Amino acid sequence: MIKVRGLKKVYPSAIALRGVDMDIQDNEWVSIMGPSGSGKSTLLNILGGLDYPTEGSVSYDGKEITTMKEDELAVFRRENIGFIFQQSYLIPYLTALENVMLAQYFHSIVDEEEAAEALKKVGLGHRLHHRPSELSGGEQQRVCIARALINSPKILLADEPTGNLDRENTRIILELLRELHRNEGFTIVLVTHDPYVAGWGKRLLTMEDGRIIKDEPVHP
Amino acid sequence: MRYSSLFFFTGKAIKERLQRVFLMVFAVSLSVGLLISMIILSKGMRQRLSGELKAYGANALITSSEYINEDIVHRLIDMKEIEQVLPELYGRACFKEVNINVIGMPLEDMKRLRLTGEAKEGYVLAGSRLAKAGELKTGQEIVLSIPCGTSEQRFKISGIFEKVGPEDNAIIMELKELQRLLGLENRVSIIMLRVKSEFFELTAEKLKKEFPELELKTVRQIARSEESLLRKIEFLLFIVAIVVVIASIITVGGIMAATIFERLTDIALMKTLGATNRQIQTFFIIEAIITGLLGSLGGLLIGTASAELIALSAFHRAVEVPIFSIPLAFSTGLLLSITSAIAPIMKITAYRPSIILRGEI
Repeated sequence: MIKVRGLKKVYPSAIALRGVDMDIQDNEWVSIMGPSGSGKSTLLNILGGLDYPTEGSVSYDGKEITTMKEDELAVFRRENIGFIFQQSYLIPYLTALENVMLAQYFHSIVDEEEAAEALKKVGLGHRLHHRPSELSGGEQQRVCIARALINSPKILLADEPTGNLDRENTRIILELLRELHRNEGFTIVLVTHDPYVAGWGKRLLTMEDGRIIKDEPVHP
Repeated sequence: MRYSSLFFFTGKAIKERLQRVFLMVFAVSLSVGLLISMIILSKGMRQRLSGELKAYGANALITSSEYINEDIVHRLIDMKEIEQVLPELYGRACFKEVNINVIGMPLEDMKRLRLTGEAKEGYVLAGSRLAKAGELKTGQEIVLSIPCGTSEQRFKISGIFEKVGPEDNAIIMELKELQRLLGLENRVSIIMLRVKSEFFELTAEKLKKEFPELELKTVRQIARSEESLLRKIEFLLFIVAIVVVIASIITVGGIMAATIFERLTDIALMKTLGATNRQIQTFFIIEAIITGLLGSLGGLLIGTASAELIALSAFHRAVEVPIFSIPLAFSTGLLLSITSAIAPIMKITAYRPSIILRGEI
């Protein structure tokens, strides 16, 4: 369970979070929606230990992460969290398979068969040895999903994962996420500004001006 | 497995930036090469200097602006403080219409200098370089005009010698014969002496008083002046080497910084995947080590080759490559590449991934 209390983030030029409180249960799919600058990406970065808050706490099953040192956070991330971003952020000189293997390398040991299997699960069994430049946007994002899930994280944090994709590819990615979420049981926190994408979750948090203004279930 | 994966991913990164890596290797090679070349040359100069002094076995030298009367040689031989007297007469001869030096020395001195062959009357010894250039061999005849312009005479070559000096381009013959041919009977150009070390200062004073018209130089003085020159050259080489190493650190550091900073997003991504700063730093340090090793190897080859080329053209002889130049080349190359990489790596890994991914850097 993720517990967030009194989370604030102040940048020299702006206040991104003005006090966020929320709880996310295991195996939940939570969508966070809001306009640009509402603080949703900042919240996701702090949830993922990619940034520190100015004030407040974030705990995973009772373990506080805002007081962890940078290397402790790195270890925490590799053991518990998978990330997907709007941009694919794949290493350009590595093939799809090698990009997934890189995540294995930082976690424990490289297992080529397991990496290939992960790519097959996202429908890229035929694209294992292609470099990112040889893949479409949707395919690149599917490599990112395979990479994010290769180490069996408890939580998947997705920041506008379909922001660069057309409607058809968006649907393919979200269906894939739904299937993996159902089969593997990890928690999803997905940030988006698109109501269609937000609608795929079970719960919707709406943010505005650094605060959660609405917390509601999503009805299919 | 982890190590093979580490080298696999590092190898991929190097392969991707082959041109930049080659540039870094080249910069390291040049710097290491220059350093190694300077060390080989300065060591070679030292060896050559001490080798020459040892070959003469002399510790004092009598010279004059005019030829020296040979009677002085007999008086010197009679002095109990002097162990060895070696007079030499220098002249010019023509061999195949080329001007060459001729050195005249007594037969017993040729033996003392361990010269191969004996240049009794009608015989000469040929210097190794002259022999090579003129395709001369022991037992052959050589036709010389001594001095140039006089009638040609035939001599038999009784041996080829090598002293690693200008003598190697000259002919050595018996002193009396050269004196007769040059019309300089009873004259010599210089007299080399070996004075008993315990009487050295006293004898030097005595000789200066007895032969005021002659100039007495102790080999220690010669050695000291040559040593001083050598030190100046070495100091100059050292300064140049330092400047080159600093310039290389800046160059390699610049290329390394550019290479690292262009991978800013990759590094942020590695962090989001859970890489610790140390894991990321290891990637770049391995790259720097590979660059350093390749650069060192290149530098060793460049340095050795250039030192040998310079030595061959300046000393007409190859110089010995000191064994310590190998570890020195590798430690310098590694130090250079790792030092250049450390600052940008430390700086870049200090950034939080969120800042990089937001594009704020």
